[in-house]
Amino acid sequence: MSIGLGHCLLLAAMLFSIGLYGALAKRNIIAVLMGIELMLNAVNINFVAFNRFTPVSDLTGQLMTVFAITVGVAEVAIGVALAYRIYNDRLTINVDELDNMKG
Amino acid sequence: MMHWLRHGTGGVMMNEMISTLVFYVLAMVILGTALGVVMSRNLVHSALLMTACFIGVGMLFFYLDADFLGAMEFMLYSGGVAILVVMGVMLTKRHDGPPGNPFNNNTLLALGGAGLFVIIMIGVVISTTTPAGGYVSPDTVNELADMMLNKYILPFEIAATLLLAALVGAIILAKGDGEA
Amino acid sequence: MFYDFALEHAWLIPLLPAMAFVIIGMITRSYGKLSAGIAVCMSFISFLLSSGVTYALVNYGISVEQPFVQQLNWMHIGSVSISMGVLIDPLTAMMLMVVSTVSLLVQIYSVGYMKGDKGYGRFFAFLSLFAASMLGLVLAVNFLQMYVFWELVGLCSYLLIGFYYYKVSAREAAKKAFMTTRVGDFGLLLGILLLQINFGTLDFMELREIIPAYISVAGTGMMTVIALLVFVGPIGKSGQFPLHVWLPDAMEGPTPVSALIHAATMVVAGVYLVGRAFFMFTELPCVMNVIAWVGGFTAFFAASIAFTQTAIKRILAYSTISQLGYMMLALGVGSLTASFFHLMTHAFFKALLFLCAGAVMHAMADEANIFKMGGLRKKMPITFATMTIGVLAIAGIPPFAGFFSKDEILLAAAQVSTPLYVLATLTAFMTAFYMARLLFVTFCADPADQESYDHAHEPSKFMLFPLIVLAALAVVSGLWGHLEGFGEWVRFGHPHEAGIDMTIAVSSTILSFIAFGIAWNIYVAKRWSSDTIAEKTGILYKLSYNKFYIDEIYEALIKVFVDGVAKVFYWIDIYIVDGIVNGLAHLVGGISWILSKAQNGQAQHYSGVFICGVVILVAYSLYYLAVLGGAL
Repeated sequence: MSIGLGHCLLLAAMLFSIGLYGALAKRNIIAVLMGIELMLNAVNINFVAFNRFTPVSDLTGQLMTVFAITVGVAEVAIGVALAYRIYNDRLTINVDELDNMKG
Repeated sequence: MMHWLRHGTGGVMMNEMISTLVFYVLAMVILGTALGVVMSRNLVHSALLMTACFIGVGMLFFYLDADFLGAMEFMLYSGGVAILVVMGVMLTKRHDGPPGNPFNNNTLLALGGAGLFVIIMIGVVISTTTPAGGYVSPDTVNELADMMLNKYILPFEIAATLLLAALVGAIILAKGDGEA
Repeated sequence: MFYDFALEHAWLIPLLPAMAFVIIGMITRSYGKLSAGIAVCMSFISFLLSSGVTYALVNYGISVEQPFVQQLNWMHIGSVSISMGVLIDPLTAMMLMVVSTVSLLVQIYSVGYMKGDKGYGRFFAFLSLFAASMLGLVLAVNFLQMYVFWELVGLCSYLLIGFYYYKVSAREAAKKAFMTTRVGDFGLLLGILLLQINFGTLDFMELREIIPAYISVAGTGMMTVIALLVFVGPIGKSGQFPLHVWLPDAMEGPTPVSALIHAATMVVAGVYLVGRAFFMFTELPCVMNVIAWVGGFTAFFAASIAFTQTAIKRILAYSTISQLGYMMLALGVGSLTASFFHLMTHAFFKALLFLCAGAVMHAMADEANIFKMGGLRKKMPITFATMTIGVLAIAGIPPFAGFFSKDEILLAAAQVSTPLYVLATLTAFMTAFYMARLLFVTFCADPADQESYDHAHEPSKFMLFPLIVLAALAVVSGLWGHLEGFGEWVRFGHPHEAGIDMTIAVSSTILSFIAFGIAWNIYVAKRWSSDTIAEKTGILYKLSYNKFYIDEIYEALIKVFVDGVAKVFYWIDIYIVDGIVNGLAHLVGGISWILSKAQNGQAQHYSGVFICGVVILVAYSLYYLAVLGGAL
């Protein structure tokens, strides 16, 4: 059986949900960032798969992926800088303790 | 890459079988390392496994005939983001032992959400009929460049500005305002 | 001719004093003499107009069956239209003459009496307002207009009783008067409302036709209720038992006020109302009985209290209540003529008595206790003469005014009910006694305090002139009314013949002389000591002196009832109402406390909830689209 759109989409979905679980269930900020990166990658896979397996006439999907990667990189940079700042200020990277929005 | 495989040695059937096999191996690598990122108890292990995951995704891009993207993925993700994350791990390390990667109290909710999502996606994907046909470009670099500088020039410029802003922002965040 | 003008423009009669009130109240209040001048002037013009109206009435033969009516529509509310106007028949004319005459004389008296008081202008403003209200009441063409002016006279009474507002007792008395009459007014209002609901009209002329027809068809049940409710108003306003308690305290006001309002005019508004609505009352024998007995009992009761009082104005106040009882009694036994005749004569001699009392108090530096006065007849001869005329009039000695009017009442009572006749005669005896007591102690006995006796003097000419005029009227009005056929004009139904029943007349006169003799012996000749009599009668004396403790009973009742109810409602307010409100607040607080547990401040928790929500929404919409084949 040849690989089709469905396979890639399923793969992306599973990667996405793993990344989602990681983002929501981890206590460390860096771990949360890693989960988010996994989700971004899953989305990129989706774009490329759609571009590859549907009758389109140009590489729009791949171009989207280029931009998505760009934005993802920028976001990681900011995220790490933020984590560093939080660590400096509170001497902890335990996400559970960032509960100023409580109540 | 697939069409190279197809038009290479061997028969069509054999090429198909190999390509299917390649896909499944890649899938297992990606998913396995991703699970490792989430489940590992050592944060540095998670970071390195994430790098492996990115490499796998890059190879998947190659498999899907998106060569430029694959190269980009290697360079930027596994060579950039992964390093950034490792640096983050090191910078926020407490001085006692290896950094841990514990779970928080939210696991049930997260499992519920993610699990539901996967189930629904599986259902959707299985019940959809995919259209036939596809698009393979012989020269992705040229085509991408063509699109990027003609039709999609605006997003290109905006992305450039975004990167600049992220750069400056990260510096200010890290250094603290008033000192930059 | 003038009298035509007066008849056509009778609405000017109340309007002119009202204008005086406005002018004095707004502009000239600080100019005493000017205010007095304006008030007296307007009063005089009203008096002239009233005389013109009476002359026109006699000239044109306007009678009780065919009155002169002028009204205009004031407003429409839905299907109810309210009109105000003027109704002139012999009753009205007589009242107009009485009110305008006494009002004018009292205002002239006040020029002298209130001199030096710093509320001089205010006093005349209020007096004018009162005159306007009373004249408007008398001219009323329907129940509503009468009620409006009824309330207005009540207001004026409040303002004038509390004239010396810096005295606590005056303020309290004003409040008491207003509240007690309010109880009466409430009954009256209910009666009026019931009339409006049942008959759709409040016009006297219309109701005069409708009500007898209604009673012959539907019987007397509902009308008895209405009539009793309407009668509650006069009980309050005319000081009948049990709402008489405000009249004695109303003596806190200046003496001209007592003379005008609480003797001659306002308190007879109740009698006037019953007379106006007589067509309703005569059809209901049960209500007539009630009226007669209330009147009779009040007359006797008030006289028994007046026996032992020592303040000069209080004796006169109780005497007023007693005489008002007589008027109600006369109405109750069916004789409108006798009642209104007595109203007229009483207005004259009671006003005279009060004004004399004012002169005496003025001379004795505002001392009110008669036992601190004495022997004033040498120092104030004219006052003594006029007061004697007043006492003779009220005691019913011929040929003074009171004789004829009281005789008619006794005759009417004897014709209907013997117990009432006995009660009335007994009251007449008592009246003669206590009035004689008042006269003898104040003027004839030896002076109690030599120093104040030396200072006593005759009052000024402003005060003397009204006394003399009223004394003349007290002498003449009875005889005139009897001879000139008062009963032919002021009547209800057929005029009854104005004869004098010799037995009744002679017996009542003899009784009055006996009473005079007893009073003379006790207080002047000092043959029988009043103290021993007081001791011998023991409990009766005590009851009489303390006004039968009615005030104390009312106060206790009110305390128990009002305070009790207030306590209950206070408890309800604190525990139930506040409990509900606070409980609701606590409930909301509690629910929000529970719900706030979901906000633990952790972003991952929020995003987890968010993802779950999105997924559920997606699942739901997919389910609908795929399985049920339609949109949400």
